[in-house]
Amino acid sequence: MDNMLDLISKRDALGIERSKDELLKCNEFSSRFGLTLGTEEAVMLVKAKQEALKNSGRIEFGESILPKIIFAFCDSPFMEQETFAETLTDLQEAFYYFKTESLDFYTDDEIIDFMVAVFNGRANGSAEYLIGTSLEALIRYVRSGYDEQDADMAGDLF
Amino acid sequence: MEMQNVFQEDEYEILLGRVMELLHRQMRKYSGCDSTSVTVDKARTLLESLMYTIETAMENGVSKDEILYGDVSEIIDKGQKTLFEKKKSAKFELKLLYDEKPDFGNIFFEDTLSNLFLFFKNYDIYYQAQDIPCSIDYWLLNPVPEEIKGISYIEEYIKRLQIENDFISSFDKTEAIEVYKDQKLSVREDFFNLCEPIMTSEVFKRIADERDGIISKKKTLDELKSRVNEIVTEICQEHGMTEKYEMDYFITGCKGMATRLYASFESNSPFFQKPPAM
Repeated sequence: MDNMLDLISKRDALGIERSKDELLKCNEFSSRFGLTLGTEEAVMLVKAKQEALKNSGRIEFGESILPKIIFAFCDSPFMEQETFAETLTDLQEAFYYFKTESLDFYTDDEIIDFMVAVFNGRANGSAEYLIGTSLEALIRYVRSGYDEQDADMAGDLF
Repeated sequence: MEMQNVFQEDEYEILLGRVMELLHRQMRKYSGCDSTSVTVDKARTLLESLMYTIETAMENGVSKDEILYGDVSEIIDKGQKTLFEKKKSAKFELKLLYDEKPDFGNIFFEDTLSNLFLFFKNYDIYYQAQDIPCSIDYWLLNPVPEEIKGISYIEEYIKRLQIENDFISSFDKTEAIEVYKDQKLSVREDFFNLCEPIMTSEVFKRIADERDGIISKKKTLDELKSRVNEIVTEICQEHGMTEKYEMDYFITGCKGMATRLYASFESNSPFFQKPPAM
């Protein structure tokens, strides 16, 4: 059975070209905000995605999460062309890591919405702050079963 | 059924492509289209469930060609339908078994029966068909092989338990309790198979009469094994277990008995010595 999963992961790895094209297509939208990805950056992001999936113990099926992340973050006032690809790499890695660590409690959209809110809010565009504080707190909440109505428990989150 | 043995190498490649397609579909369905990825563990569970469903479909008439070139959704539907039917009939069998169970009040036996009912409540045909979501503590004289999965395991367990129950019920309850007492077993609290002490006692009783003959003729272990098989068959027939599968069940379950007897004869165990003449 594990052989089959390995083969499936390898077959997915062959889809670099397809994923790269998918990312370059996002330029049509993100360029409105002065943000674009070059071909090399797109390939680098796809490879980083595969690494992130492997590290977080996940398998992606069908569409990729990257276009969703680009779409959600490209209108952020803190996104800059010089660090666009680098920030996206950090964000997608954090996304997969926290998706697994939160025991798949949240949907993709919920995690991305949360990330955008914090990134554009108190994190002031710092991916490091977002990953190191708010997402960690989010996981703790999920695992301990938090009460949304309890303001003291909400801490850094809401 | 091992898929790699059923399909040739090139066919297996096609199967893999189809399974991948199905797995993606299952993952999407499982996550309710809310997620684009699942954990490797979840993917493995879904894959095992798919393979088990395909195996079940094949065991129930879906051909190799249909699997390779037919409509995949239809194959899975057929497999799931079969699993559903199996679940329904196994539940019915369990109810029958429960109504006719021997009433010794053994806690492991009773708990296992209650847990088997939980299986039908928790069994997930769609995403975890290969799982056995209940705990089965009570061990059988002839255990179900561990490679059997999901509802097939439960079907087989119930079938075997039914054979054992029929056997126990053919003995007088007081006599059976005496046998347990002789073997220092607490009927209610000890963890043991209810059938084994009774069968062992019956076989030992009969073979004890033949002890001198066996020793003087210097029988080999293989000869003793076939004699034990004959005795087990006789016991089964005397107690109305006349179907071949029933007799085979006990013969397999008592496989180790001849070895134990041989060792006892060799060591001149007092159990088999003739009582002194009065």
